[in-house]
Amino acid sequence: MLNQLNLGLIFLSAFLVNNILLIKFIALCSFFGLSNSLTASLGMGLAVVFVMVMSSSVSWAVYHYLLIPLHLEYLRTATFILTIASLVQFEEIIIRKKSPALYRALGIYLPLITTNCAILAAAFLGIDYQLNFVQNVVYALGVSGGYCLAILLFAGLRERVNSAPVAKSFQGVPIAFITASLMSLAFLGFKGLFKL
Amino acid sequence: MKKLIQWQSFSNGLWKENPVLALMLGLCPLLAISSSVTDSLGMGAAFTFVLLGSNLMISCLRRLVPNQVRIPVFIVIIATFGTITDYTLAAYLPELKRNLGVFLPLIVVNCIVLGRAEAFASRNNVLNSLLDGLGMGLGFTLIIVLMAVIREGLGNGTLGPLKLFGQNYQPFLIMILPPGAFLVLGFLIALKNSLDRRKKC
Amino acid sequence: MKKSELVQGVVVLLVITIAAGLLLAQVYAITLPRIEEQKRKETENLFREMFPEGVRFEKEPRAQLSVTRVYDGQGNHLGSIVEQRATGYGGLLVILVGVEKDGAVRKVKILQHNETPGLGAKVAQENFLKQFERLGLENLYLKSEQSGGRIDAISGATISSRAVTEGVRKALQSLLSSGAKETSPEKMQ
Repeated sequence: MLNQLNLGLIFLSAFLVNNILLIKFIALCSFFGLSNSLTASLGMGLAVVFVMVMSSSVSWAVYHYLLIPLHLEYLRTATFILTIASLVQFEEIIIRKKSPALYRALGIYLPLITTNCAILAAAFLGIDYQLNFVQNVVYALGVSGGYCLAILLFAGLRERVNSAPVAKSFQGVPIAFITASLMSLAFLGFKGLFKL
Repeated sequence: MKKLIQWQSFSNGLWKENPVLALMLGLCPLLAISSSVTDSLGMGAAFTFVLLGSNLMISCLRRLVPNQVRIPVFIVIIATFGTITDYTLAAYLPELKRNLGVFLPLIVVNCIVLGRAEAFASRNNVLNSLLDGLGMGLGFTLIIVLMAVIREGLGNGTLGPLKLFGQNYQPFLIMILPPGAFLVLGFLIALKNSLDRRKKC
Repeated sequence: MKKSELVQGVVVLLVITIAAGLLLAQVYAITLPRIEEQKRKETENLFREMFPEGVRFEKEPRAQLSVTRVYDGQGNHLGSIVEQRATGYGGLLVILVGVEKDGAVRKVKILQHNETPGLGAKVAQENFLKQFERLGLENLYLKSEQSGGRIDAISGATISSRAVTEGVRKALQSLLSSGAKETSPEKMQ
């Protein structure tokens, strides 16, 4: 299936057609939690791109070179989440040392990422789709790019909606869901985008 | 007095602090799985099991685990229960396992489970933690099944094996597609808001 | 004081991790045979549905094609089952085509699909798939697109219907062209 596509299509499929937030419904907590502000969304989006590419590469290597040879596939869930958690800690330290500017921009989002299910989901899905290493990296780029795109668009929409007159019971979260519904409808249109 | 506290631990999750409607947690499986009533019941059960198991273990171990390592310990415990559920379903209900897909292992990072472990089970006794887990699990199941009834009923004209409207029903397709999930949940939260407001007045 | 607390933390974490690992190993060991059994049964059930009289199902390794040959109790060749991939509207379609000894389609099943629920997904339903039974190569086209065609497309889901029809045709084509000895006697035993 996905592993028989060329790299460009793998990217597009993850980026638009199977958008992780709007079509696959993963990582919605951060989607609704952070999209109140455009800057927070941008920070989280970039942090997700950064961490997801790294962590899904590392998880891929751990799974194929450690868990499979040792026949420990059943420890996959536990291993991945611990790998991701320690990797995030590690990256936080490195960024703080090497690039204070980047740390100021992404710093507060890094700890939140451990519980962002998109990261873990991308690692699982890469394994489930039986991607090879390069495909896996491209897939992670596509997924995280799609996350970025959707959360930024959504944050923009919400800023506009906040200034609109909305019925009392719908104010806040409910109207956000309805906005998301319309956005998801638009993303559904990408489904016929390419023939495999 | 004691009875009252226990009842509160249990009933909190059902409405007042319903994990979905009030706390906005656990949205991913809720929206993704609620296009089918059968799968929703399965998801609710799997979720309640993980919540009960991890709350029980964490509450038992709460005095033994030092503060600094508590989050990794919680995660390991939750991941263990998640994996047990995963393999048990694969062995006995393979179809359900296929339909739930990636959301089954993702229970591990579900904010509700970790949230209850941190906020409740690590501070309360075993009985109350179990009741809390049960209440939260049922609260989640209640909402996911309610959404599935609306979505599958309108979007497919069926409830599990049951046909609702007979031959000539033209399904309200958008309901079982992704946008329908957001739409239904938006309206449900609005409904809770307006009910809560009316109660206050 | 601080150091001893840290050591205690590490020890607790280690003990719990090892306990969890051992528990999972147990669960895995118990469920694994059943999981594999379930997987085997699932494809076998599909095969049985296509060829209820079949007794022996033999997977034949061929480079391009996944073919399973079906024999009855006496070792007579009954037909073949081809697994074919095709591309629908929502992505990959995996189609199982049962082929009679005489080269006509026996039954078609959809193993896996990703079509739009309520529209394209209808190609997986019996109403649509029934149309393929007993058709030969020249009839495996949509009625609207080729004069010999005998398949009615599902309204609103032409792409999905066409994908399935073409997949079935391709499966049959490659089976017939690769298996000139489809009915040859030396394969019977």
